[in-house]
Amino acid sequence: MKKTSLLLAVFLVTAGITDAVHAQKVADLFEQTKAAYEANNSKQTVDLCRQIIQQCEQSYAEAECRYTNVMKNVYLYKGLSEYKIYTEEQDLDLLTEAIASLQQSYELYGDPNVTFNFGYMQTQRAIKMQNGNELEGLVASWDGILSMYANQEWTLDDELLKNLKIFVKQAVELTVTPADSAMTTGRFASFMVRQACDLAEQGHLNQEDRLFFDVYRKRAIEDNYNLRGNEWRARGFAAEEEFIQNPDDYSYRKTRTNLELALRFSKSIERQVEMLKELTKVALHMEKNSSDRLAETELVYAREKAAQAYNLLVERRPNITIDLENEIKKVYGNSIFRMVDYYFSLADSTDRLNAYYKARRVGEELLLPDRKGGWKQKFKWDGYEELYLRLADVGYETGDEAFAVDMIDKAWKAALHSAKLSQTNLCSDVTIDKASNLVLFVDVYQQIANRFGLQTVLHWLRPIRKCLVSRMNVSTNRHE
Amino acid sequence: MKFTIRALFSAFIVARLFFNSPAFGEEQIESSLEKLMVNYEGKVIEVYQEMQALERSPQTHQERLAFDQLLSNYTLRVLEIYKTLTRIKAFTLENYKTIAARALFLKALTNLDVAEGDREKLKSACEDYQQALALTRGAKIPVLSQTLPYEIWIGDRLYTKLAELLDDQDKDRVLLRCMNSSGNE
Repeated sequence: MKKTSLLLAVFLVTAGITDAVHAQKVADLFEQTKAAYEANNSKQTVDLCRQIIQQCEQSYAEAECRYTNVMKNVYLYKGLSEYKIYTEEQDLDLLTEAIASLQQSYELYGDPNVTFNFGYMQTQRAIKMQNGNELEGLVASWDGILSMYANQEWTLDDELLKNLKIFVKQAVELTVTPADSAMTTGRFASFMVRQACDLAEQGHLNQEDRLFFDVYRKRAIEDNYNLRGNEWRARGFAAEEEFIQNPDDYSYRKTRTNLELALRFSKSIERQVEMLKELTKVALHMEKNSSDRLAETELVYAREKAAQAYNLLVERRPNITIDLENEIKKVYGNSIFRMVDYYFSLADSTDRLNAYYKARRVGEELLLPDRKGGWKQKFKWDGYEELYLRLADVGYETGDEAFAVDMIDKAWKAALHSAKLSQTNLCSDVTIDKASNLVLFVDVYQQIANRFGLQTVLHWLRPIRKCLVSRMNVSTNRHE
Repeated sequence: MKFTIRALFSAFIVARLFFNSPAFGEEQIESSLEKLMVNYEGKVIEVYQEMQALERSPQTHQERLAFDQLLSNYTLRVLEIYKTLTRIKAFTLENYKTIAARALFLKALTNLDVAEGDREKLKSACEDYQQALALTRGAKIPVLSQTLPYEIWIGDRLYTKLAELLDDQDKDRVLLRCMNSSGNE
């Protein structure tokens, strides 16, 4: 009996404590919540908000539970605090909770700021989950922006401008999510960026903001509204700039990845050839600047991309500028030359003849019959004389007289053409720089003529060499 | 709820403009609201045309849904302004009704476009279509047969009348049938 009385007493005391806790009024809890929120105490804010919501779910809820001004803030504080905790802990469940809380707040009172915020969070979640086709967030934040714009009687203030920039950046980020596969066509994101730029232009933008919106508008429009491809292209160029400054493996990989994605998502032939050209350029730059990598891998890659670009140029005739066309030809020619040069240099250390033949086979990719029994390059490019010269070396080393003579003759003519000189007035017109360059060609020509006994060639080369050397000596003497 | 709050908000802004600036007359408010209404109708058209540029495929479904939602939001704004105008004026000009109706027709078509058997979307399309017709009941020339004040391009095809657009986009006559089933024939 005594035991039962004791248990009853314990129960009554416990029940009394519980009641005391429950007895805390929603109004008091709300005041505490407000204080905790203002003190940036996120975890306590969330706990208090949960208590209020739980208490309000009871059958006999207090009056405050029915006040929109109280409950919209309870959900707002809860959502924003959950988001703060999410940014620290990176737990996606918390982000989902935060979105739900803000949506509840919005249901109670359509505050456009809240719409913008939960839209922002929805997009952030989509990006985090690599779900590029979850576009509801963009629609919601845009709705928030339009309502804020209306709130301010259709004028743009700094806050709204800031939101517009956040919106644009998120739309872009979402359209490149995930990086390696396209879940949408990107048309919606491009449209939203254009809408944001249109709205931004309604205000007085400073130079920096104007540039921001101009850049993104261009990115949303170019290449048939290809925001995704344009963004990868821009990221590729930015990474390339960094890579040129600091050519290490990391920046090379980053640049190549971005440019390859720009190529994969390009919509026009024009864009494809441009990206192929850029990929060739970075691979050649990597080969030139790296000492610890296998040069052949980069050269093979560069040659493959350049050949693809050139084939598109010939077969599809894209509407590109002369400058771009020349650049494509240059990188293709250069990648072939570098590869020929690479195999040629291997001849010292490996099977000599095999290396020379390999070099020749690569070089022949750019050669066509010239209808005079010889060979000529498919196109002229900036530096094409160097390839002829190297192939002449190959001919010399392999003992192929016809090929060596044909190539050195073309190399000499190409060198004169590049230097804008004619053989007849060579001595009077040649400058010191050009003389020192031309003499290299003359030397190889003489070497070939000597080996294969070409007396006539030696006869007309002798005065040319003499003149070039004397021109160079003038400069040496002058410097002395 | 959202709609009511937004509508109330528009009314609030108009009221503020009306009371705070005496120089700002009723006519000026009306004209600025009309400008805004035309501007938002322009946005509705823009979204509609942009959406039509997408091919119909499973890959584009999410995007088309997003366009549909965006167009609905712009249409709601056109309707809010229309309602505000009806509140501040004793009688409403036919022009405002026409603008609101055109936006609703396009919203109905967009809903239909993405419905793919979704009952909610089909219901919403029917309601918008009915509301649009109700708004323009008694017009001298039926809105569907009026020449549009703007061009609608879908692919290579130019539409100058909503009737042509409806004929092409609602080939199964879903909207017509929903009128019949609601007994409004």
